[in-house]
Amino acid sequence: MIPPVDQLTAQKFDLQFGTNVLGHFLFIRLLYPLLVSTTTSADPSRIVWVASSMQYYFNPPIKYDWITDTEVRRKQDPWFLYMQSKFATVQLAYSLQRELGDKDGVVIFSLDPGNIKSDLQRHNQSFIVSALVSSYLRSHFLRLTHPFLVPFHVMACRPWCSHPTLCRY
Amino acid sequence: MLWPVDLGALTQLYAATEPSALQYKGRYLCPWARVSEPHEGTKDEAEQKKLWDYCHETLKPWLA
Repeated sequence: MIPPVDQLTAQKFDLQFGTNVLGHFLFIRLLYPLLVSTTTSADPSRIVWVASSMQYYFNPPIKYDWITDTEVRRKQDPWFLYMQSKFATVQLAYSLQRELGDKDGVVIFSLDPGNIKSDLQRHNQSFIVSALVSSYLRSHFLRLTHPFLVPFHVMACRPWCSHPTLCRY
Repeated sequence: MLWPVDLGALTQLYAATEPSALQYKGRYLCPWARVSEPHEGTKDEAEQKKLWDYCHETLKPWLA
């Protein structure tokens, strides 16, 4: 998560997009025949794609020149590359459900697992400051057209206000 | 605030195993084990299709 911007996959994709999107998508596509052959209506096969609350901060559409190692990609803050990768996973989860899952009886979810203490933050020792202050401020610059939408979405999903009536957004 | 790893597993386990989660087929979940809505832009079907096609095209060497 949020590695230095010069880090790429072995196939020369942006490390975050390659890992979070392309790698997982390939994995799903290769496993998919097995998921279809074992699904039943009583107990359908499920695909759970772990996204992030950071998808709320991405300013769409997907920037395809951020996926390979272009000049424009190198100028991006790695946080934006992370946001794009997680936004893409949510998009692909919708596509998978509509294009394949509905036809084959496979159930697909995407989700935000919460802000968890793990090695994911090893590149960002001050993760709390980075994630909850810096990105929060960035969101205002990124999404000036919806000044209330993003903070409200994010706040509605914070664990300290996880009452069902607050979390319906 | 960062939460312990067992909580990190909770929403995923719910989606993957809980029978009642099936009512939320195709949806986005948030902590802890609740249905929610992602960024509105993720629902743009034209953009979804573009990314879908891009991924298949890009991964062609490995999908063959």
